[in-house]
Parts: sequence; C-alpha cells; structure tokens
Amino acid sequence: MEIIQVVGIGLIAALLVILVREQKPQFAFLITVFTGVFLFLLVIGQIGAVINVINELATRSGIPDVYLKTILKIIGIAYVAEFGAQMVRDAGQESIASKIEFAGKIFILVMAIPIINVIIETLLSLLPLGSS
Amino acid sequence: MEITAIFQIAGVGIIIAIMHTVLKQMGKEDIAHWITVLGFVIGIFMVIDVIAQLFQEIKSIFLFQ
Amino acid sequence: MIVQALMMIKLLGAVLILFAGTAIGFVQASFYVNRSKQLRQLIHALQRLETEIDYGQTELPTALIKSSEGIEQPVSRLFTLTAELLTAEQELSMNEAWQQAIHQVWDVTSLRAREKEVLLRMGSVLGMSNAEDQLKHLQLAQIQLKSEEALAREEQQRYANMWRSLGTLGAILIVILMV
Repeated sequence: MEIIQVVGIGLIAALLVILVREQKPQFAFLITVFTGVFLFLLVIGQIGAVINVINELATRSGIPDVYLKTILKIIGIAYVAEFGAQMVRDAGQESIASKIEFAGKIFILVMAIPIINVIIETLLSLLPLGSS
Repeated sequence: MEITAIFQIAGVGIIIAIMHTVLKQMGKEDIAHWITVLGFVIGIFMVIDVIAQLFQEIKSIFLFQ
Repeated sequence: MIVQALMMIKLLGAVLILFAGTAIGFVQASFYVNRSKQLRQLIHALQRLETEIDYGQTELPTALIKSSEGIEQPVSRLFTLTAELLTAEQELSMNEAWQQAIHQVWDVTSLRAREKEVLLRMGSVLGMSNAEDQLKHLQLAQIQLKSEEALAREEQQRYANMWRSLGTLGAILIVILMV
C-alpha cells in the first residue's frame, strides 16, 4: 500500500511547512520542493513498469522502434516540464514557470516533426492525387 | 535518500529560526543573517541531491540512456 | 542485534555532541559571569587596601595579604603574590613586584586589557609617595573599575544567555545534520 505512504509523507510535509513557514519561509520552500521530488521518485518506478509493458507490446506488433522512442521522449518531456514548472511556481516565480512550459511545448513539437512527416507521407500515398 | 531528510530540513529550519531570534535579541543581526544563509545552503544541498536522483531516473526511463 | 548496537552508538554520539556543545556554551558564558565577579572582588580588595593604608598604616606586604582575605582565588592570588615577591626579594620595588604579579596572574583571570592598564597605572604610584597620594590613586582606580564592572554586568546579562543557548542549539544542529 504505497498510497498510504504517499499520503502520510504529504501530510507530514504539510505540517512541517506550516510549522516552519512562520519563522523561515525559505526552509518551508525547501521542504515543499523536497517532498515534491520525493513523491515523484516514489511513483516513477510504477511508470517505468507501465512503459516496459508498452515497449514489449510495440516490439511484438512490429512498429518501428523509432516511433515508440519518440513518443516516450515526448511523454518524458511533458512530465519534466510540468514538474519543473510546478516547482518554480511554488517558489513564486510565475513568469519563469510559464517559460519552462513554453520550452516544453516547443521541444515536444520538435520531437513530433518526424512522426508528422511520416503521417503526411502516408496520407499522400493513400490519396490517388499524384497519379492522375 | 529517505523521508528523514524532510525532518532534517525542518529541524535545521527550526533551529536556525531560534538561533536567529536569540542572536537578534543580543544585537548581532549580521551573524544571524549569515547563519540563515549557511542553513539554507545546507538545505539546498540535500534538495539538490534528490533532484539529481530524480533526473537520473527520468533519463533512464523515458529517454533510454 | 548489530543494528541495535549501531543505534546505541549513534545515540551515544548524539548525546556526547549535545553535551559538548552545551559545555562550550556554558564555558563561554562563564567567562562573562567570572569577569563581573572578579571585577567586584578586585574593587572590594582595593577598598580594604585603602582602609589598611589609611587607618592601619601597616606595611604594604601585610596590608596586601589582609586585603586579599575573604576574596576568591584568581584575584586574591594577585595580592598574595605581590606580598610574597616583596618579602622574598628585598630589592624589588612595590611597582616591580606588582607588575610581575599582574603578568603572572593575568592569564588565569577573566579580566581584560583595560583593567590591566588601570591596575598597572595604580601600581606605579603604590609605595612611592605619601599616603594621601596613594589613597587618591587607589580611589581613582576603584572608580574606573566600577565603571568597568557596570559595563561587564551589562555584557554578562546580554551575552551569557546568548552563549548558553547558542551552544546547545549548535549541538542540536550538528546532531540533526549527522543523523
């Protein structure tokens, strides 16, 4: 029952943050960041298991390896960007957070270009426009 | 890295807050500020450690390296 | 079993660190407490010396020994040592004996350079001129020491508590960081 662990850590961290924030807000922020990273670390193992299954399915169905890699990278970038933006937002830097999110979107777009390319090519070959 | 680190950071924060008040009452505010900075740096070191761990994990799971 | 033993060692270390930090704090605090206490004793001794010179007209060595009675160690040593030096080596003047005694005793006391200067200046007159002049200088030294004492007491109130709490807090900090 890892969920109980997660909730317990969250509760304890919240209490400590309330306790420390009165005197030293910097340390409250440190606790917040630490707790966030720690909880993420706790669940990232589960994500790894899911991704392993997907990987296996993909190799069995014969999809080219590159596509899956790109999709996984995109998911990873989404997670990292979201997480980083949240952390920075906790520190009260809204503008930097929005820049991080923006950078994440652009990187996802760059990653997706080869796949979009393939889709468009497939579409073009399906349509009988070129022959007529 | 374990949960104790959360308590550690909170403990350092509380102790340094008390030290700060004591030093401030005795009119040594400059030293009080230095102590605050020192404690903050110690806390940052702990947090940096977990963040590095997290990034390593993300790299190995999502980006196949 | 081994885990338990390790826990015990850790606990022991934590307790030792706590103890040491608190002790450091108390030693630092005791410096301020001792300073004001020793200054007070020094003033008392000078007062007695003044009466001895004024009414008793006693010789200096006996006057010094008498004024050191009823005063605690490091400060009383200053007076007895001067008396000893004076009786042991006849050619030594009062001033020289006083200077030697101050130099020997000073490191043991919690007193500072300012008091040392006051005492040295007073000693340069002792045993030199007539009684009236000496008394005047004794009184002057007392006044200066009294103002020092007031200052020392203020510092004591301020810093003694600070050092005590800082020692313990620092020890707790170290323990927290090492867990």
